[in-house]
Amino acid sequence: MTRISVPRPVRLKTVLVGVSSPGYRSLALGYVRAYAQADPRLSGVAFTTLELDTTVDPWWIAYRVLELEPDLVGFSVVCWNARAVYQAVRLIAAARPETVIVLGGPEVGPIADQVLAQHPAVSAVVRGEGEATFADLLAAHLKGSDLTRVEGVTARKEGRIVTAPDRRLITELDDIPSPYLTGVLSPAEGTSYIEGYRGCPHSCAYCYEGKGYGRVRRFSDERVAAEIEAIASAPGVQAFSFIDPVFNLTRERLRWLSDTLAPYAARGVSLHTVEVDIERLTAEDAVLLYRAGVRSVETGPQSVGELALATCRRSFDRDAFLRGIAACRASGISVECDLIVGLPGDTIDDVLAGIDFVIAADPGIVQLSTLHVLPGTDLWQHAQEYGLVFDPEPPHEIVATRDLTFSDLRRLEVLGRAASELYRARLEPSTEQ
Amino acid sequence: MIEFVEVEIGKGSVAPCVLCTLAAERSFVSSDVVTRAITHLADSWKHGPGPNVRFVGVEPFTHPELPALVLAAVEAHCERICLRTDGGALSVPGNADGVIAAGVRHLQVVLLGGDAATHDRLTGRPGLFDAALEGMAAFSQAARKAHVRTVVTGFVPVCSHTMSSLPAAVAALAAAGAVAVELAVTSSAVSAVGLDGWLAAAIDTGMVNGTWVSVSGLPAEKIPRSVIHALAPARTAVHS
Repeated sequence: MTRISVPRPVRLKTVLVGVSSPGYRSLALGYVRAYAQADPRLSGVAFTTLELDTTVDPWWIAYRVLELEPDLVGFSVVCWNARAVYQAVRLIAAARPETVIVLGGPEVGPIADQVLAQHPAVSAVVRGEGEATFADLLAAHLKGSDLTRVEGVTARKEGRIVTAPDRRLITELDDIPSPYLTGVLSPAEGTSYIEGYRGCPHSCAYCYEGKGYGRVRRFSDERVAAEIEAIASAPGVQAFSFIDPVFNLTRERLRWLSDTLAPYAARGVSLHTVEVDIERLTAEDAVLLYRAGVRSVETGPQSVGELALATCRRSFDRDAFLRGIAACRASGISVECDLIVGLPGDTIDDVLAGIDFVIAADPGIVQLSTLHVLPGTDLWQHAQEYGLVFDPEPPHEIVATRDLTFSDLRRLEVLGRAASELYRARLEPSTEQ
Repeated sequence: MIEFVEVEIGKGSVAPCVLCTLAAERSFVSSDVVTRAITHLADSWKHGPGPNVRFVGVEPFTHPELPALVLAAVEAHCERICLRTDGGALSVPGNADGVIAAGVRHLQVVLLGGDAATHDRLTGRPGLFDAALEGMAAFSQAARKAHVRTVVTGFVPVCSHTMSSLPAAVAALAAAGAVAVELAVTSSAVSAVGLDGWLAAAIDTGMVNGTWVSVSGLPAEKIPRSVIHALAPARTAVHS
């Protein structure tokens, strides 16, 4: 008997919007969509993903969304795109008031109540890990159920903002379908990312890398290997990224990654800059990194000021740090050393000492960035106690600290940029290819 | 910070203020002497990333042995080779490509004013201001073409004649892409009336344009405002 496929009726048109830095795309939306598409309760939900970048005017973001006439729109919000998202959301709600607008991501999750209070156009905020929560939210919406009963959601109910209980973290990360292996994301040169685990072994006060996960949960080796194969074997892909907060999480894992990635590296597929714990990095580790296709790594120290390091719960071992840099350089790996200007406790002299230290270490790249006091971080929660004044509007740049005036901060930014560029312009044939 | 050692490659200084100094006869240090100096400083380098050398004293593009000087620095494994220049010669086609191919990565362009009328009058060389800016642009363009990372900075000798032009000179250098500018106070200007105000204005001009401005030649207590203004992202030592 001949079987004829019949299009399923669309019950809900859902548009997911990522507004990334130019040249990037949203892995988070890939996860959210892959998870929701695999949910049998959501058959008949049509998904469209719009990958836009921060150069797109909010009016055009709204235009692109509204052209699709969605029933529900989901935005992934980080500090960099939040202003544009909020403006686009206002326009979408004004033009098409029946659209349900859902926000998620690190910029909004930790301050969901505040976001809903300040942005009447927003219907609901997904807090924390988004995959299961967003799928449940869609299912509830389809059934006409109360969104405020969905764990992990903060939403409006009868004019009030109601926060449902937190959702437990997904125990087995492999339960989240891979965006690459399901075809939600196509491997593409420069914009393919692999997440080996969630959480961070560190708990730096300024960082939301761990996203409140509290512990490290890993995707299985088989899953990661399959994603590597899918991406590294795709036509045209010469480099891709690992977004793990610490690539050399353990020696055992580094060795496994090196073994797995080496065949692709041998074919010329390299990794974009990975983040490492440089102080734990031995000469042998550096060899493993190079073999894996790593040509540059990014690391701290963020500050060399004792008070700032203590306040931010960061350790710093100068000698180990320098040994790690030397090991990388000896293996042909460039190191990017990062400093943050505006950490609590840092004085002008501390920042200058930091610049001097990293330049003297001769890592390859030196980068100074300004502190952003991010929602959900320890610095956000204790800003007053630490004497931090920051812009409440995203991206939440530091305005002043107890030890650094607004002018000091701006001067240090300019000095840091000049020092960085003067350092980086050099005759080094190996890096000028 | 980055340490540079200045090596004098001649006399008959780069862009002097003609109202302050009598025109000095131009002379050049031979490449043999310069090579020995560079080799010595490279062998004894102990200041962090480097060695880094800046050729000063005479317009480098007038030096008959400039290619040999740059080659000597390259062969001594200098990481950062800088030319202090009036910039004019870089606007001549081929010069910017040539120095970048040879190994120059840093350019320090001297300006005495922020507009053509002032700069050309104080240098006594009509057309030099426009040529300097064209030269800076040509250097940066050549670097992009060659896919190498370079940096341009500025150098402004401060005398009683240039003092009131400092903010404009910094603005011009910043607009041309200089990431840092050194205001070098000459001995005759140290006690000049109003110097503090012009230095402060020049520093703030740099700040609002994202260019770091440092001051040399002044005792520490006379550096205006914040202490960090005293710091240059590139420190200088002179090789005699």
